[in-house]
Amino acid sequence: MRGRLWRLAVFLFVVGFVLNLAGVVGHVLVSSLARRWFATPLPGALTTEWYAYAWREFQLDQVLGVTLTVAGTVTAAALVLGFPAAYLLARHDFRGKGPLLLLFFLPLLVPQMTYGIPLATTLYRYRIGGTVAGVIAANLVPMLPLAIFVLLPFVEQISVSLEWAARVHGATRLGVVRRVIVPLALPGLLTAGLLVLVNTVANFELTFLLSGAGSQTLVVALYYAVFAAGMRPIYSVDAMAVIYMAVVLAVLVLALRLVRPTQMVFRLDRRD
Amino acid sequence: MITSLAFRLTKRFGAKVVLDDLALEVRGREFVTVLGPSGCGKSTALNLLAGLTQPTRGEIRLDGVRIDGLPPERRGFGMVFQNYALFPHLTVGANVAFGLVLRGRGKAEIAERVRRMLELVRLTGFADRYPGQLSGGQQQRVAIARALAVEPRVLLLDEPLSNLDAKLRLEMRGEIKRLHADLGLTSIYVTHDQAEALSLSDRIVILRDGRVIQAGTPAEIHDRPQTVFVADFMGYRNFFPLTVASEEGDTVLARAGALALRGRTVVPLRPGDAAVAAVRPEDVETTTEPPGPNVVRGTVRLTEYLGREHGVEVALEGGPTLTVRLAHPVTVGSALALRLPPERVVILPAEDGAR
Repeated sequence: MRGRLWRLAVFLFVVGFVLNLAGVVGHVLVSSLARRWFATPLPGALTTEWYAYAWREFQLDQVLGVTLTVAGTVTAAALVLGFPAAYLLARHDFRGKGPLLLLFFLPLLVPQMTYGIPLATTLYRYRIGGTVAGVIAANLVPMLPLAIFVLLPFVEQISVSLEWAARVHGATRLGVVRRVIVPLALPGLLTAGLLVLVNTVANFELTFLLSGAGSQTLVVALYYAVFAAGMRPIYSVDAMAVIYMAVVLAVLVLALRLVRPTQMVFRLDRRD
Repeated sequence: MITSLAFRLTKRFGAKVVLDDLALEVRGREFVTVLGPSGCGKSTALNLLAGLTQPTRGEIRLDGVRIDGLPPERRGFGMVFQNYALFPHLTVGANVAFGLVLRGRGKAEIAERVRRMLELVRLTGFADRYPGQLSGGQQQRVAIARALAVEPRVLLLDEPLSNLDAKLRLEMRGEIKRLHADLGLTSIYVTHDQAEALSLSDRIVILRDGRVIQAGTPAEIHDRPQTVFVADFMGYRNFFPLTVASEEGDTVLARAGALALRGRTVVPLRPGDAAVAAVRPEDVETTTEPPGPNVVRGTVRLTEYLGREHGVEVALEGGPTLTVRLAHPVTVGSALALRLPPERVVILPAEDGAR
């Protein structure tokens, strides 16, 4: 009896969640395709011209370019800098490692607004604020710790004796990294990369504080489109929101094709 | 083929001395075992030889040439690890080929050598499997094949059998012995298992707290332990603290209360010296002789069926307990007269502290 009630509750929750999501997304999607949509359940006529309008008016080609540049660069930098850091943290124990790790991961725990404003002030002072480089630098502040945080357990599970075996049988230090550590940490690298990528595309606060006219990412451009002065047809803003959702979804699908979640489980489950 | 590997090594971690001036010369084709309890420094010794850790002081010479400055990849050694340390992302074949690829050997040569190595460890047909798909014994055989593939100048084995079950351990022991002999290897083997050390080695070095306690052939170590520690490690289960009463060549008579034992000495002892008599359970026999030196009486306190024989614990008159192995069953509580043959009793100098 209790089991059945429980299952019913879960079922109702899932149905509610899906309906809600479908409602919100469906509304935006339909609105972006409507010629006009007032007091009727569905718009009278459909059109795709709002997409062309949004693309033109909001300079979406440029915004998309910035978004992908920022996301790609932040992901690459977070992995290139984060992997050696994660390796050192995983392999070496030292006094005060615990508190240091906590301090290090603070940007992940603290709301971004709290340090975003002083960070922006500093970066503007050095004339990096308002540029694409500024947006990248600011995004790296929480994303580098995130990458390390995700990579750490993946590196920790690689037994030191594997490195030793590689050394004894002929691998140089660099050879060990190339032939043993990176291949074994690959699921971790892909996972960390995926999380950093999606989080950077979706990051609002830091990008909002740091971006200028030519360095807005999609989510910030969307915000300005909604709240900036002047009237804009709501249909065009919805079209832009659909583009944003499509981009995030595309990134996610593309990344998930590279990183199979089952593969992560398989790797973690493995003995060394 | 090398002719000798000579080293003298000291390793400290902070104030702790892990290895205290361990000096040894291993000849070509020799099988040397470093035997000792966990934490005695034996694995550290192997890691120092491999170049995986740096000695605090000392040197390593291979055929007279110093190699302690070389990084591990340039020493030309092979190593087998306790946890196999196979690369999980590579197939069995790629694992065995690992060292050959790094040495830049040709494709055909590598393929042929991998095939031969797998044949040698009886794993033909396993080249395309992954380590995770193999049993523990198979994985360890792959690890051995990987170490042998590079034609190591010295093969280092770090407790390679301790993760295997008893039956497999016995099987692999034979395998290692066969490979060592067939390939003319020079091997240094580290273990805490005295049976492995005795069956495999040309020479055994016993290590305790980073120091060599005794070194010699398996028979020497087995029959003529020089300390209580070594005797304990070599299966002597009965130890009686005594005082030397008289000496005569390499036999002495030692006493404690009513107990009088005559036995062999390895280390010279004088009358009045504190000593410990050691005897193996299987060397004690039942007797009908009258009481005298080396004949003791007692009451059976515990019996244990061991298959071919019976383990018996006997409470001796005057306090101490004697553990013996008997061919025939005895009942708990019955009286027993036992003889400790003087040629099987070893009288050792008493040690400070625990044995």
